[in-house]
Amino acid sequence: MNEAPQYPKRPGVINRFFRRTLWGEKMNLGAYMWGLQRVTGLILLVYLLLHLYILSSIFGGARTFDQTVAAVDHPLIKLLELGLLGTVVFHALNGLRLILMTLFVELDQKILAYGLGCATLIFVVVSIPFVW
Amino acid sequence: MTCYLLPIENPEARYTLHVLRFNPETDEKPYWRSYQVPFVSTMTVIEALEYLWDQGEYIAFRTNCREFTCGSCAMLINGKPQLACDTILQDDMRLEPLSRYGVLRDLVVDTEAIKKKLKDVKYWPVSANREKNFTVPPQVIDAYGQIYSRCIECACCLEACPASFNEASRFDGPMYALLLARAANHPLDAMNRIQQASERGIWACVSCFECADVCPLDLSPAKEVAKFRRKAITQSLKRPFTFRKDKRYE
Repeated sequence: MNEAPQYPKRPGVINRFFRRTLWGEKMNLGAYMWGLQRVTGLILLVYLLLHLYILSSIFGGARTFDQTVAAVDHPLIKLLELGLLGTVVFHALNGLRLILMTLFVELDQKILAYGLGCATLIFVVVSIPFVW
Repeated sequence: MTCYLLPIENPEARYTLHVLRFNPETDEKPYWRSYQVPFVSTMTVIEALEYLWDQGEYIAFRTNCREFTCGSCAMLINGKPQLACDTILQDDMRLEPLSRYGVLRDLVVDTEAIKKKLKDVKYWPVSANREKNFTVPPQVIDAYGQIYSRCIECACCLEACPASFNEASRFDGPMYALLLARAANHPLDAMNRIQQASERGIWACVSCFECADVCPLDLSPAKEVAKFRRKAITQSLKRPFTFRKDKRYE
């Protein structure tokens, strides 16, 4: 038997996820959580590089560092800090959820997912007075 | 082809069905084509395709049992892998072949890769001592009846899995993990299935439970993967540094 012809190009995972959602066939909650875990991971990576860049201004002397810190002292940056806090907490708790699901198979992943969503939200709201 | 179409309830109401057609001998790339199907509230996608055959629209598709037992009619319906015999037709539905395998024609894909891999996996119980008498405990019979023997190997979970992109992926896929669990739970099986599962990439599973979501029989291969992982962790903790040296699986 001849080798089967290959499908010209398989749509990528992200493409398939979006297409399915747009066509009305929603994905499982866990799939969206997995996507969010990837996205928050990328955000944290970008933040880490930005963080190192800002800290590296200390090599320019105390005055340069003070100027850089003053430059980022802005309400918009505070808002972004809250977002960052939410991202960190979500990423950490979702990782914990995956470990728990491996160790305790009978746990309901949806309850865990909603729980971590609520925990993240509460953590961010409680942190507002400290960040602002 | 015989069409088992139920009486048409409303001849004026019609549904539109979009099918991704592709004939490798004549077409350069797949193309969408729309068809009109009469409205019948209980019509499945398979019945709609059979109706189109009767109308002279020869769309290639696989079907056999029509009662979600054989798994041959798996296809992407609105982008979601489902059995066509288990899906009620709705307006503006989009049918595509499974994208994981080569397309032979229209909605028919080449599933030889599955059969080849199943031989490689050795998912049947491999017994070291076939002559030994044994009694199967009732709980094993229950587990087989409720979980392991129900997989129809339709490949819907393989299609949905984001961690197993094709047959060459590091992670074989949820269906193979479930079949490995079936063999591992057999009382006569003598292979080290935990190590086999580890080598077959269960650690790459992202635990999204998409396989459980699309499974037409409501099985949960992701749970079997988690059980394998837990057993592997427990085994490693009990015998640190010896897990990788276990040569029972060759």
